[in-house]
Parts: sequence; structure tokens; C-alpha cells
Amino acid sequence: MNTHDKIILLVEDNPDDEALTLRALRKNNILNDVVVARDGVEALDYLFGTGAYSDRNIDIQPQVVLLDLKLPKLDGLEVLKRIRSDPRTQLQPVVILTTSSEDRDILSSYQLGANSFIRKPVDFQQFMEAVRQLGLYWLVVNTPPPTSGRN
Amino acid sequence: MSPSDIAARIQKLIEAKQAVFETQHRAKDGSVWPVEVSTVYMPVSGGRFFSFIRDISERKRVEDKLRASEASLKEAQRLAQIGSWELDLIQNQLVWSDEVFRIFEIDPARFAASYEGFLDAVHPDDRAMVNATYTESVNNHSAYNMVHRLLMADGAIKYVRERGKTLYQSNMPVLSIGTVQDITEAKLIEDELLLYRNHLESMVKRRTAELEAVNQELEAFAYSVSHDLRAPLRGIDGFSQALLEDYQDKLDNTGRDYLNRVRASSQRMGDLIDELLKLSRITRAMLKRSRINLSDLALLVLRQLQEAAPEHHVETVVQTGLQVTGDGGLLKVALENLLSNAWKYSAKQACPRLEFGSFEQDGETIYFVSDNGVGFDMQYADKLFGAFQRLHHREQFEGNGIGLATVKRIIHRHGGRIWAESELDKKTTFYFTVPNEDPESGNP
Repeated sequence: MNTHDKIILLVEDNPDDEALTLRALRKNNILNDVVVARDGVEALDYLFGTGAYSDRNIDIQPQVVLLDLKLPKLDGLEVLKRIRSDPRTQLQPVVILTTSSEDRDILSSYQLGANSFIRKPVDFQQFMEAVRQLGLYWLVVNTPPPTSGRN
Repeated sequence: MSPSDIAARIQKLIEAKQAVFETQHRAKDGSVWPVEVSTVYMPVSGGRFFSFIRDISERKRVEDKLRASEASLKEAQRLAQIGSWELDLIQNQLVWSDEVFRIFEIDPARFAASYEGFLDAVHPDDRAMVNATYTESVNNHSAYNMVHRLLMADGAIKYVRERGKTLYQSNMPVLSIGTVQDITEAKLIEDELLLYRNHLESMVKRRTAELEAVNQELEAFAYSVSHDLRAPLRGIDGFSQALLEDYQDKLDNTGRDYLNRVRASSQRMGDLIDELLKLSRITRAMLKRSRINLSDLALLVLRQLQEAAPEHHVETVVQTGLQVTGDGGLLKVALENLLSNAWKYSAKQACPRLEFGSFEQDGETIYFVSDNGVGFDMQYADKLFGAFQRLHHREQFEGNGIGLATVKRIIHRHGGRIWAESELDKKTTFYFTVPNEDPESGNP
């Protein structure tokens, strides 16, 4: 299986952070398709094939969802809750990628079933390194749940 | 008695033919004692009195004693505002002591004691309860103790405590006895106290609510800082880096230097925000108290400092067995700051020396961290513990001016004090206390 076929869903409302994350992925030679959802509703539309994504084949789901917490409309924790409560997406790997490191954010994320919590550092070089490691881990090292198990 | 009085009495006796009376008898030795005279007049031999004279001094004494005891009982009842009563259940006769009349404000000359008179004085709202309590006590063979109100004729309200019990003969109630105590004054004081206490409680509640609101605001503020303030910095840093990488051929050294300065500044601001958040977290965090060995904590921190700078040789002295009650996590942060400061500021000495220990003064244990580093000018000692206050230039010693503010806050949250003394280039000592009893209950 080619890792390039694997989709990354980046849920991020800040265009600067979006550009920087895409740059960090590219610089680390992570050349997968990155779908960007700019708020919580868009993210759920993509995952469940609703709204703007009603034509999408939802048998193909992202290898990993990189989910910001502070989002317009539906926030990240709400998105995570919906992902975990739907049998079609309950096993979907979700990595929280956010600015905050407040205890309650970390705690709520794990309580709601996040697979990982990564704080975006201010220092871009550290951010690059974080993106490199998470790309390597979730796209190469980690084995995702089988498609059949998601139904 | 005058001779004419005596003649008059004798005349009366002759007419009555017999009499019993008490009088005084004077003996030949002059002593006087009470006697009872029973006399009968016999019209024989020109009239004779046959008299029996009985010494009644013993009876008199007992009677006097009884009267005195009754008087003192009355006085005691009046003083204690306790009246007593007896209800003869066979004869249906109620007897009140004077004090009961006084408490019920009933004139004993006009009204006799009666259960109806009693119930009339009881506050209408309490009558059913009083009646039920008494009836129940009689039926259950148990004593009772109750407080109820009296409604006086002038509308005033009195509070009385009633205690009573009933005596039985072959299971038949024959006599109820009891006391009634006027507790109006005590009750009013109690009510007043209750009022104060409620007022105090509501004040505490209000202040607590205010405090909670402030805390919540602080929490929201910190949350927002944590999320929103750092994101733009990442933009500044990230795009500066992008410029450096993608446009390096268009930048000369000065241009690259400027961009590096932009990056350094944004990273520094990111660090400051993180430190501030840490400081505010210390204020907001719940204290988790347990027995903590400060000596072990200090040794652990020193080991970590040594591992981080293995080339650095510092003579360290740590007093063993120093125990306090406190939050282990926070106390470690405090020791980390104090010891790393001592480590940092003594680094440039020829023979750096660092000590952690304690001593007793005025009945309290004072802990200290001292070093032989550069120290500080005592004239700036008050600035030491303020956030973002630095006494040295950053080029000389790294730091952000938050460490000691953090230590101070941790020590204060434990109810302790912290202060420092320094002699430039000789010895600098930070002192602190961690009292075992702490005013703070655990929640900030």
C-alpha cells in the first residue's frame, strides 16, 4: 500500500496555521492528500458525506484527522464527540493538534477518545519536528483499524 | 403584757372554759423558750386552771427551718426564673409555686392555678403541641422537655422551657410534677446570635461567590491567552522562517539578521506566555496536601540540575529529613526555582557552593537555600518576588523574571512567608516557612 494514497483531514480555521501546517508536511516530504476543513461542521460533512461532500464515498476515510480545538460553529471537542458516537467513524484515528496546553483541554480530549494530543509550539522548527513525527507515526508506523471494523 | 391585758385574757379563758395557745416561758435562770399551753378552767374552789405546758422549742426550730427553706426555695426560683408545679391527677388539683404565677403574669390573689389558666397563657400556635407533648409523656411513662411560647395579655411573647414527669401507682398516673423556666432572655440572645451567624454565613457565601466569579474570569482569561495569544506568534515565527528558507538569495546578512531577531522575539514572547500561564495555574490549582520530604525533593532537583550541566561542579550540602505537609508538585516547583537560581548565580564563582537546610526561630521552622554567588543589592530586595522583575541583565544571566514570583505564590498558598538576604559576591540566602496549619482549606 502506498502511503501517498492515504488522506489526512486537517481541521483548522486559522489560515496562517493551515499554511504553516501544509508547509511543514511538505517540507517533511509528507505528500499525502490533505483535505482542509475550516470549521467543525465542514469536518463532519466530509467524514459523513453530507453537505458539500454529499457525493463523497465515505468508505474511504482519512488515515488520521488532525483536529484543532477552537473552531467556529462546532468546536473540536464537539466534533470528536460526534466522531466517537457514530459507528461509521468511532474507530477513526483523531489527533488533537492545538495551541493550548490547558489541563482541561487535554483531559476532555482524552476523555472523549482522542488518540493523541499535540500542542503546536510557537517555534516553527519545533513545529516542523512535531509534524514530522506525527506524519511518520500515523502514516507509516501506525496500523489503522480495518475498514470492515468501522461498520 | 400589761396587767390589764393579763386580766382580760384570764377573763376570756374563764368564759371559753378551755384554750390551747403558744407563748414564751421564762425560766428562773432567765432563759426563754417557746411553750404550748393547753388549759382547762374548772369552777372548783373558786375556780381553777388546769394547764399542761409543753416545751415546743424543737418543733419551733423545725418549723423555722422549713419556713427558711421555703423562703430560700422561693428566692432560688425567683432568681433562676424557674417555677414548679404539681398536678394531683386523682383530685385534679394543680399547685403552682409563686414563680409560676410570676412567669404567667397571673395574680395569685385573683386566680387559682388551673390547667385552663395555663393553656390560656400558652401561645395559641403552640397549644396543640404542648398538650400533645404532655399527654404523650403521661401515656408513655416518659419525662418531657420542651420549649414553647407564652402570649401575654399585653401581646408580649415569652419563651419557656418545661420539664416534667408523672408518677404512677399500679400503672395509674397519680401525680404530675414539673418545672417551667422563663428562657425569654436567653432565647432572644440566641435569636440575635443566629441572626449574626446567618448574616456572617451569607456574607461568606457572597464573598465566596465573588471569589469564584473572579477565579472563573481568571480561568477564562488564561484559557483565552493559552489559545489565542500564542497562535499569531506561531504565524510570525513560521513565516519569518519561510522567508529565510524560500527567499534566502534575495536577503543579505542584515535582512537575515532582522528575521532572526523577529523569530527570537516571537519565541521569547511564546515562552513568557507559557510562564505566565504556569504562574496562573499555580494560583488556580487545588492544593493536594500530604507529608513531603523536602530534603529528598531538593536532592532530586539537584541531581537533575547536575545531569543537565555535568561539566559544572558545585559543592552541595543538603540537610536530611526535612518534612512538611504540603502539595508535593508545587513544592517541587518552588525548590526547582530556588535551587536553579542558586545554581545559576553561583556558576561564575571559583568554588560554587549551595546549601539547603533549616533552623528554628521563635518556635517556627525556617527553611533556607543559600549560595555564594553574585547575589543582589539589598536595596532592590522588594523587587525580587514581583513577576517580570529582574535584577540582572539577560545577557548576564538567563531568566524571565517569573521564577521567584512563582515561588512566592507557592509559599503563600501554603500559608508561609518568603524573604531573602544577600551580600554581593559573598552569600545569598532565601528563607521560607511552610506552616503545618494552614488558613487555606485547599480551594483557592
